[in-house]
Amino acid sequence: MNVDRRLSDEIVDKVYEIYDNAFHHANSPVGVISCGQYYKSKNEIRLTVIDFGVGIPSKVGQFLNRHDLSAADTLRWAFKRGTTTKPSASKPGGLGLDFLKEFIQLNHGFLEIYSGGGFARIDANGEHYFNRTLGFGGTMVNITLICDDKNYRIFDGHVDDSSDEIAF
Amino acid sequence: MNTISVFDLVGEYAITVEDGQKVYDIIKPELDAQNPLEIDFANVSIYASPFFNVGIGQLLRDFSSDDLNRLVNFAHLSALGKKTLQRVIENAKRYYSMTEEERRIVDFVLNESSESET
Repeated sequence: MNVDRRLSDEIVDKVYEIYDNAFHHANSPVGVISCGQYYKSKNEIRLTVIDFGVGIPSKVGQFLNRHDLSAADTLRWAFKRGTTTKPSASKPGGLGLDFLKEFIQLNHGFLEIYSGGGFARIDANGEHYFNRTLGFGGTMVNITLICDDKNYRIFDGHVDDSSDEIAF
Repeated sequence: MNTISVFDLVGEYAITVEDGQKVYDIIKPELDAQNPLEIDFANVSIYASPFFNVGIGQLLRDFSSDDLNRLVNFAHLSALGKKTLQRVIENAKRYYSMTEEERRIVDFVLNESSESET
């Protein structure tokens, strides 16, 4: 498998959030199950992460104290930049899924999440959120990434590579 | 100016909340004493937002942007690291400008109706 180093670093960076969520948010009684495969003919990586925890709809509904929200709406909230249910209220968070979403779209891959009664699919064409009559007792994330650096751009905006200047 | 090597503190992967806290715990007392700092990312290859949220973003709770711009410099951040950190800083400023109640407002997210699948 031959993947550009910058692309592989970016994949680890962005996909880490899925594992962080599964280990720290889900309260899964049996831990986290993950598997992946590289498909040489398509030059794709497919990765699946499953937990059998509380699920995003339940977690978000509880955090917002909005049990009237549909499962699809809780998923939409979870993918919005800056939203987080993490208990460390004095620390900012909630960018990981937003970064992952952006990366998937630039990469021309796709991401699917089944969680409780909700289903989301994110790809280059946009974000789609559904309510399902048959729920999943936890969260399952499927990610497909294209391993071709011609097919992706690290940046959606300009970053000056020549300076370490960061503005607070 | 003191230099803090992130690689010496957390190694090649700057991704976890726990490692971000280690960096914050070193930086905070220096900034409390008004000591200028260089935070050096040489040899760090992978960055993720949980690390930056806690290691750097949290400083915006304790210090003004003006103070941080005056006291903190970054060295050897990759282009990807810069992009991630700049967005973390923008998010942290927004986060600390909101009340707990405002953080739970959902209406701005839910303008579109969801599609349904049976």
